[in-house]
Amino acid sequence: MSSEHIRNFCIIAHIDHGKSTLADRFLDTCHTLSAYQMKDQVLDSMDLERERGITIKAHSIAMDYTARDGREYRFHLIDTPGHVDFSYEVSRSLAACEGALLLVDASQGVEAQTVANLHMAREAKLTIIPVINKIDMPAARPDEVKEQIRHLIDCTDDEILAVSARQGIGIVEVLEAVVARVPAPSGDPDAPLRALIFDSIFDKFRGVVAYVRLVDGSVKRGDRVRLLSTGITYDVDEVGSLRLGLIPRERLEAGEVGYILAGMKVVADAKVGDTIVPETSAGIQALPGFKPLKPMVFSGLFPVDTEDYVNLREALGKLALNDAALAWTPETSAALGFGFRCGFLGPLHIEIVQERLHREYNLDIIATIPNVQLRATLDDGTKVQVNSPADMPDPGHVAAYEEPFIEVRIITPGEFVGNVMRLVQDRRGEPHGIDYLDAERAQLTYLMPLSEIIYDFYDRLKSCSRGYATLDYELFDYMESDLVKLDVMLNGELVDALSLVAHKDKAYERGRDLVDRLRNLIPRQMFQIAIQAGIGGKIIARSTVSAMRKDVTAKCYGGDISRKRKLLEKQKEGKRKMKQIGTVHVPQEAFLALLRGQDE
Amino acid sequence: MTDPAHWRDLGPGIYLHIPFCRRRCGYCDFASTTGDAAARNAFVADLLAEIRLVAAGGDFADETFRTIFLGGGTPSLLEGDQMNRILGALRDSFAVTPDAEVTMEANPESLEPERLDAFLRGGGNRVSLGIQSLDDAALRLLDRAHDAALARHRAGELKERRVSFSVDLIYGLPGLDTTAWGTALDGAIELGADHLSAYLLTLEPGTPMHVAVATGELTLPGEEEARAQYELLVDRTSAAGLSCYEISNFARPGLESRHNQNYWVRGEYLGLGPSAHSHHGGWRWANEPDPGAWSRAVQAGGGASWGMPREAGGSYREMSEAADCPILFRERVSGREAAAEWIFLGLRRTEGVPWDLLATAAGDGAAALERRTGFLAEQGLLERQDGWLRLARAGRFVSDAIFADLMAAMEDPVPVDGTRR
Ligand SMILES: Nc1nc2c(ncn2[C@@H]2O[C@H](COP(=O)(O)OP(=O)(O)OP(=O)(O)O)[C@@H](O)[C@H]2O)c(=O)[nH]1
Ligand code: SF4
Ligand SMILES: [Mg+2]
Repeated sequence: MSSEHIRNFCIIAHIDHGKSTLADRFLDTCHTLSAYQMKDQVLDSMDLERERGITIKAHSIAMDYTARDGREYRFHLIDTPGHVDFSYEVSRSLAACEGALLLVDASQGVEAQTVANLHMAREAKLTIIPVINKIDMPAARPDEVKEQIRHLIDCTDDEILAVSARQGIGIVEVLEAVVARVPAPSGDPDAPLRALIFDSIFDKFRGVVAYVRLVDGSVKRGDRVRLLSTGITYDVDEVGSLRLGLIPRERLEAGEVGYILAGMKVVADAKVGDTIVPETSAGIQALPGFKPLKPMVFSGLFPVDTEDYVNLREALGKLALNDAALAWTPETSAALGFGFRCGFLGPLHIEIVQERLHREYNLDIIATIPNVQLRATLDDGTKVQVNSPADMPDPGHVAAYEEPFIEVRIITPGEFVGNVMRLVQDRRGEPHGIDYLDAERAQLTYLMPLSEIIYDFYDRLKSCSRGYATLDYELFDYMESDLVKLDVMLNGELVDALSLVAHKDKAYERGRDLVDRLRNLIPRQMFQIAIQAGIGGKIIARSTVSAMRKDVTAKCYGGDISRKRKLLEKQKEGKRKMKQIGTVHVPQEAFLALLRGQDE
Repeated sequence: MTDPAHWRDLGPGIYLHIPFCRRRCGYCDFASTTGDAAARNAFVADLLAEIRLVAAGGDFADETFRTIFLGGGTPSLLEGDQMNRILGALRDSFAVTPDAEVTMEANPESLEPERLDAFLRGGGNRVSLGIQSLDDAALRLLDRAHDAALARHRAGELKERRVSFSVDLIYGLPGLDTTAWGTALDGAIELGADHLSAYLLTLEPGTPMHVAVATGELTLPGEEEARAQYELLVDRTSAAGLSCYEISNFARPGLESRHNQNYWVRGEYLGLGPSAHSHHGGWRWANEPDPGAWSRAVQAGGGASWGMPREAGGSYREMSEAADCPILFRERVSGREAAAEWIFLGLRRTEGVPWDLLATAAGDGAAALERRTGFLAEQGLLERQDGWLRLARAGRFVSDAIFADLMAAMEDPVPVDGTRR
């Protein structure tokens, strides 16, 4: 098939606007899957994606479409995730495409990721086709949404398509627009091979599968290829198309999206963003790659059952095969035992990793309070990087701290602007601008510390806007901040797992909050327990758990000592399962509840 | 490390379980049946058979018993001659010191003077009277078969005969406040017993009272109220000259129950009858609790012996492997288990436990145990004095938590220290 009949495009949108459902309808229309294979959001293949109804990884699939003009087209579709933590998945997908369908929910309107993803697609110079989805909904407001879209994109009302992915309305029009508006790929089939690795996955049976977009040339089984960044050469074992599974083909040609198997052992071998070229070629220009993924948020992961440490290490290793954003180093906590300090893209990423560990590796995990990566400048001018509260240098020697700031975009109905502004200002946000997408929809931009959104921000944003406000952010830069380490003590003994980094102005409030919550989670013991929060040596909040007053049983009837012993052994085992902080026993569940925030 | 000399005349003891009650009280989950006269006769025959069997086995031939305790159930339901046959059989079959403490548990409704006199004639010298309360509302709540007047009357009969007796009380009852408890307690003290046991009501799963509390029909007093009742108990008894020698037991000096103390100092004893427990030669074992099953096993056991288990090849082993052995289980107690027993038995006594005894049993857990006892002493829950470890008064009412805590400390020889990283 000549590249003239190829269309590479992706679907981008805010979370839940219906990308995966629209992809389902495309697959129906193109008869790509059998009735047996088909199900709702079929491309969301991970268990976790299916259960939560969200897309975590971008999914590529090839489809054959017979257009109204009677000609056959080969579509390569990439369904992308909508959540901000996974926006790197979107940016990679864009590199494999010439066009993007920008989907907007007809009842929700333009939201933060709509704008963020649109910006990325524009930067990647993609042709954008705006599509309003869910027009079947009673709350659909297609005309208002059109106005919002026109505010963002220079287009006419007629160019904005309207569909119901769920009911299959307007699907063919979208596919026709793809044929008509998305340019065919423009590479040179006769030039030497140039293929961009835009994703790679690890398959238990087949090893590393590199997802590629061929820009120039072609590739087939038996070719010897080289990766430009590493210089390592490989024999191509197999090439093919991405369907629900891998479908081997004779060759892949310029303009196509497909996969290459070449005996690569670990995902790092097939680095996303690298360019594949023929072994012998010289002087070939690398394709523009991607910014390396940098963990933004750190948290300690500890196995609930301390015996699971080794299993956790192995499981993280396996997860990392498919999750290039995950980074970790060993960490020890007096309270929680042995674990790992892990770097993540954001709070949802932490949650997903935790859940995958549970689901796929049967590991129960406690995650400590997340923190961002800090930079400390010491008195003597040396700079140190801090990934954990425990690593914070002695405050006496720190000249200044810097922490990452982000540019936040919040889109909200006008009536909640006041609430949102109050919330953001409370989180040290500095207003950068306000813009109205239409009479009713405001877009607020702020500069604020990343640390302020990883702690309970999203929920508050939602609750102060009755669920309407949405948020997107990108890293801005490191800036100076007045930070302190907040510690929690039980009867004077530090609970290292609860230490956290806080802004000086917030420390009191957070200390109070931690102390109050702990008070409700620690069972009474035979003696009184003082719970304190402090900065350095200074106590800023305290509370007490009063002593238990009664725990006594009657005699041992008729010399039945064995029964009594069994009862006490049970009680004893209960204590042994708790974590001992100095002299105080703290149930594992208390840490769990506190760190998972489930007690509220 | 040997036991303190003054513990030696506490045991060994013999416990006999008499599994009959006139009817089942609403809070009780003991092994007992109502049974008629014929059943009691058959039971006594079986018990006599068991006494002879154990004696014939010879495992206790070297022991001189210092206490006998008829418990239940309601031993006072037995006829006078039945009691005498049992006590006689014990003296015929085993060596029993002439001054042995011979106690019978009795309920007011069945302790008629004839029975009491028969018991005394047979060598009995101590009665533990299950009055439970002197508040008629409380007695109805407990579903007891007697009222306060009868309890007073029986106490009077005991006093007339100058028999040393103990009264049992229960506090922490649903609907009874501390004032009502104080009144009942004062009444009980006025009965003039030498000994008083008072237990906080424990709800046993499955008993009618447990159900009533679970469904909200009855409400137990709160923690502070129960504690206040305990404090009142300790204060009033000591004012009356009954000193607290164990968490729940009070006596005039010298009149403490030797039989029960023997349990708490981990002494040896032989248990006979269904569900009875024994401790001998480093083993603990228990008889089959079901009276029918126990009886069948006794009847089938002619000639064989049971009693002290021998580790290999002995009579006990043969017995316990036989299908109709009356022994439900046995276990060897040593090391950590022995240390645990020192904690949860020995510390119940006000005198406490010699630290060396406990430390030796705890082995490599001793250091951690020492640290933890030090901490709990600082908290005012334990006392360490002259080489003895004991519960402080403030620790008595949270004793189970302390025991479990010490047991846990002992098992983690290297406790996670909050400051260590
Ligand atoms: N009423 C209606 N609901 C729709 C339509 N399209 C999708 N939905 C529903 O919207 C929800 C989200 O759909 P998805 O397809 O999972 O959305 P998504 O954009 O892929 O979500 P993420 O991948 O998590 O960003 C699902 O419950 C769909 O059934 C539509 O046209 N009409
Ligand atoms: S008399 Fe004692 S043993 Fe019998 S049922 Fe009542 S409480 Fe239980
Ligand atoms: Mg999706």
